[in-house]
Amino acid sequence: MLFNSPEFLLFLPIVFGLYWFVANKNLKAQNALILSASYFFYGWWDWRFLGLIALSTLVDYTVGLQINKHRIERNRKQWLWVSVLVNLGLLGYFKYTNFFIKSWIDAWNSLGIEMQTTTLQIILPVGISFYTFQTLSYTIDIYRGQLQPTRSLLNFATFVSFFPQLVAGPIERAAKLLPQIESKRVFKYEEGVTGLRLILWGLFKKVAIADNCAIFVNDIFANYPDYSGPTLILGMVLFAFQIYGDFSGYSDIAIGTAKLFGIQLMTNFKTPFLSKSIPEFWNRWHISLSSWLNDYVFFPMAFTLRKHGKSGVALAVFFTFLVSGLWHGADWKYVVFGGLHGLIFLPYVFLNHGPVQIGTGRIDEDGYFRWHHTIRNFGLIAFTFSFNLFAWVFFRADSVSDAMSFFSHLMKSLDSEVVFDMRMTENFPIYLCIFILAMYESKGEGAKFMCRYRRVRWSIYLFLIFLIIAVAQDESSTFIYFQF
Amino acid sequence: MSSFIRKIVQFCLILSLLLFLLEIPIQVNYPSQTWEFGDWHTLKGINAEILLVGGSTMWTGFDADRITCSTGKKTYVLAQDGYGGTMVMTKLKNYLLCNDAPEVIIVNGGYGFFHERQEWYDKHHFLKYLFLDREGLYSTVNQLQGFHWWEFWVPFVRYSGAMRRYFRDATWKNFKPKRKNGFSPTRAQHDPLPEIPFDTVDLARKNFALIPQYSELCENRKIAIRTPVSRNLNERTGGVDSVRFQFESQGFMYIDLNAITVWPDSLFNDNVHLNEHGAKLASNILIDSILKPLYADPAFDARAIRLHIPLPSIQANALSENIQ
Repeated sequence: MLFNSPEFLLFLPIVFGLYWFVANKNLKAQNALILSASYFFYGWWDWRFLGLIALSTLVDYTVGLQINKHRIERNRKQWLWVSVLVNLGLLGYFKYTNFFIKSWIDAWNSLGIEMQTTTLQIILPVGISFYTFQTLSYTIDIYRGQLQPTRSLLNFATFVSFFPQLVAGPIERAAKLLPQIESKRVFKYEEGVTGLRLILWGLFKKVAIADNCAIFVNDIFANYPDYSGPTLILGMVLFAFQIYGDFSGYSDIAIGTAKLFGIQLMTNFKTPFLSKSIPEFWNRWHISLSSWLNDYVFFPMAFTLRKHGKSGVALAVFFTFLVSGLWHGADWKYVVFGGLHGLIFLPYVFLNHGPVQIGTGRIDEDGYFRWHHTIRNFGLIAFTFSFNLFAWVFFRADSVSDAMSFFSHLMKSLDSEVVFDMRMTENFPIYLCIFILAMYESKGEGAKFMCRYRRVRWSIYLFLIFLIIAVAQDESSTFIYFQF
Repeated sequence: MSSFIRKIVQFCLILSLLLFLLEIPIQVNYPSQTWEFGDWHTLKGINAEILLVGGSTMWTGFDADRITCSTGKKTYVLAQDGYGGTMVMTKLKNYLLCNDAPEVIIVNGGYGFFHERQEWYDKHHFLKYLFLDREGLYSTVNQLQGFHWWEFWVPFVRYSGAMRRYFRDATWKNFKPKRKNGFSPTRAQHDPLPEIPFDTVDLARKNFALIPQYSELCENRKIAIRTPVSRNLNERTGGVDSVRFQFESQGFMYIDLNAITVWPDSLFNDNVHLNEHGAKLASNILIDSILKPLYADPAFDARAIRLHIPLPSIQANALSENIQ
């Protein structure tokens, strides 16, 4: 089920009503309702893959208890390996099998040894990368002694499958989400209102911005040899807003929906386009993933390599970004995307005097748009944004060679006489929506609609709803990050 | 919680009111037609004596003005651009509900009748007529891709992503289409249709179940016409005899215009849509070889006809070249 579908518009009030008016007296009943709703939500897409979530849940629930039960380090580690192998095994099979087969064959072919390409017909289960990482963090935290396992299978299953963030995050940590699931929730008016505002704002970003940018982006990237250089640059910029609107829109809806059920999810985006450096960008972009990678990939590796000093840290950073790239998809283009970010991160490692961290979610005091920003800051923001545009071409293109060809054509056609060869007036609604997005989010006001007068606030809500209806595409389109 | 629910209800009421306000101009302009062809338009008071029913091949293929002038019978082309027998039948039912039954109904018995769409082609032409389903479209379009049930019950939202069409439907007065006679084939000359790449076409397998339903709707004289297609396509079309049998067993007079004469490519915009000259020729055949004899002698059997009328001189050379 998609957040931007009418089915969800019916599903949410029904579950909300049952949750607060029928099951509100009993925590178990509330969690059972959330669990059923989550399985229904996921099964709406493909019920067959519910088994995978159930398997992952059962394995990690058991592993968590076993790790906690055993005191001998060897036994604890063995149980942890069970969790790692099952989770990464599922992820590897469903997401990376064909990639590895193809890469293997390509490698032999490049050596002149002909091998036939045979790939398996494997459907990638939606959200597998998200819930796999979430359950992995649970067992690793227990192994590290940072978390006590839950005794309730119901609570754990609810934690794993909590529908607002099941298929595209934010990737929650058990230490934060499980205690909320295990304790009684009380409806708070302010939380409910904030949740609805976030849902509305997320829908606006997804439906009005991302889906409309997608029309031009898809056309430009599919037919880039036919377009002039400036149009290709426009396509790159629109893709930046598409992917931001799509993913942060999803996160906003997820966080807002969770608030309606009295549960707080972590912030996933903090105006990333205002970042002044790539390290800062990763503190603002997909924070739940980058902090996960920081805790479970970068930090252990940097610790292992600590005797090599900054070189070891740099290696850990680079490796972490390669993993980040590969997490996004089973294709070399994602590896290149991650590698580019890793490379541009390296100077920061060597020049920074403090400890290196990825995805802290911390931003500077002047991290939002202020008119008194210095020219230097504007320059840094522009540089960081430009680098992201460059790296996202690899993300968006069909392959690495396609991305290279895109750049090649871009360089050749920059001096062409044709400035913009698309009908620019058709883009006007998109520019308007992007302008509204920039005006609102650059102030860093969170989900507040900047007015204490209800009539004005409600007028803004109505205007946003009208805008969503006016520019929405006919069919609800899926979220980009569902494929990961 | 009660305050939260109360405010949500208040907001939803205001939103509903806003949507109803936006719907009002559409309903006020309901009878107007804003597109020359393709619109699903209102049909009251047409009362044609000869009614041609079909998709684009009918409205590009026959000139209703010419037929009216030549036969003295009020002729109207009831067409829905891009659709086959199912959609057109819904339109025919609507027509028959608010008009007198025509003396002669001529149904497209060719590829256009049997071609069914999976997707909701040119949906924007239907948007005005969806709210509360006043045209009975729901059951016809609910299998098509692009169908959303809420568009029939929630005001305004069906114009999502089609604001230009909304303003056109809400504000434009009648486009003054040829409501008297339906669509005019001259349009096809100025707006050439794209080449339709057909491979072999087998007419026999599709939509036979519709034929009895059409038969029930047509009380008086009923004719099914297989509209002209290019010679190349005609040679690769199979199943015509089965179609003829199906129509004739339901009381239709079945006429294959492709069997009457050879249609050179110069008469087509593409493989299946006649251009203005082709439409003139097709209309003349319909008038002289079918309608006039039919009105003169109700027992007239069109199966026997072969083209013996002189072709317009402008086409004679082209035709002879193609035949050679």
